[in-house]
Amino acid sequence: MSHSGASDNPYRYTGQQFDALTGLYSLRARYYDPALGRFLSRDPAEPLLTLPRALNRYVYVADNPLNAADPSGRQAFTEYSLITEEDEESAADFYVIGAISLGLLPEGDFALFAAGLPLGMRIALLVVTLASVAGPAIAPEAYLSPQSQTPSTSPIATPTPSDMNRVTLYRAIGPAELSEVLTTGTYGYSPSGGGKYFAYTYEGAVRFAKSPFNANVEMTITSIDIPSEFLSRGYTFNDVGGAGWSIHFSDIVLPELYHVMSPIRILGSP
Amino acid sequence: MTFDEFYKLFQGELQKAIKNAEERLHKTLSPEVKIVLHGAGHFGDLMDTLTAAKELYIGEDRFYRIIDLAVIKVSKKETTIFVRASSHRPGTFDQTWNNPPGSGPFKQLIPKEIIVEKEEDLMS
Repeated sequence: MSHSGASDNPYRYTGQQFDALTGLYSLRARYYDPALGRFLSRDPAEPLLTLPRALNRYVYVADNPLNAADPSGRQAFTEYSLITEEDEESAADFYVIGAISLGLLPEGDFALFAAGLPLGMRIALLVVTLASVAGPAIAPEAYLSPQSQTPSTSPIATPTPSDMNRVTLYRAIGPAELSEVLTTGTYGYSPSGGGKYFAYTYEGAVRFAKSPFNANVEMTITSIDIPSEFLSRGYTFNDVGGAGWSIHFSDIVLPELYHVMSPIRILGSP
Repeated sequence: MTFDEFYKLFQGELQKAIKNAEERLHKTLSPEVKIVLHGAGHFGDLMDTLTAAKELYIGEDRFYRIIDLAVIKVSKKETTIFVRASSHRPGTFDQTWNNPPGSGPFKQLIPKEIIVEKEEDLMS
């Protein structure tokens, strides 16, 4: 991003303002030094953990200046997202557009396909493309083919040689927890220490998601596989009016759960 | 809802949980109740009913949205009840689970297993 040749135009690379006195570009949130090829301060935006290049919070657009711009001085993805609390839907579209601009997603019909997906799936689409660059923190196949998932209808799925002694559990999550899943690959921890419930069946998770209690929340169904012996670490209950047979893992057990569980699969809207 | 009203509602729901367990075990359970509290800043901490109620009560018009209950262990001396406050943003009484109506945040769960300690000592 360094500049050679004389110019009085203070607006240069990607239209950003260049300060001839300091030799720095002002990108609003922070200054970029073209001589050093880096920002002078850390990116104020939280990095995407699935993109290791973004963890270096001094580099410009994850070292991909040919395909991305960062006019705010914050992360390229954040900039593309134009995210605001009032406009999460269009933000998700811009996330996908940003990913296309970075060369992480193909253009054309695929972009149109992506734009037609629900909010959760569009965000998921971005993360899976990031995972394809950085290495999957979450099972990629889970994002792109929700219809291909075959939910279990029995409390304990019939094991095959490859998943012997593994149990599939399902969890309905809201937007905040979906964000947690996409950024950390786990369900996180409840702020009040209440632990997490998982339904033994897909139908149970859907029933809870569709209950009047969640009427105004965009829910997403997810699933994980865990070793069957790990079931002994939680309490199993029948939530008759809600998710049916479910298991509760306390917050104290969750770190172990996150260690032994499969990558979280996102099955889509209930 | 005042704390006293909330406490009374909580005690009523605890009694429902005990009754459910008694019918299942065909035993009369000890009225001495210990709460294993998850949520509301606790991680499975043991406490008495009044202490748990104080932890679960937020205010006159603010409630944990779901508070699950189930008897999980019984002995001659005491009955242990699992209580778990959800992590949803607290809301008004109408925003709680409230099924059946009037139960507010409290939701009865049926445990897969009730641990019975020293079964021969239980009152029949």
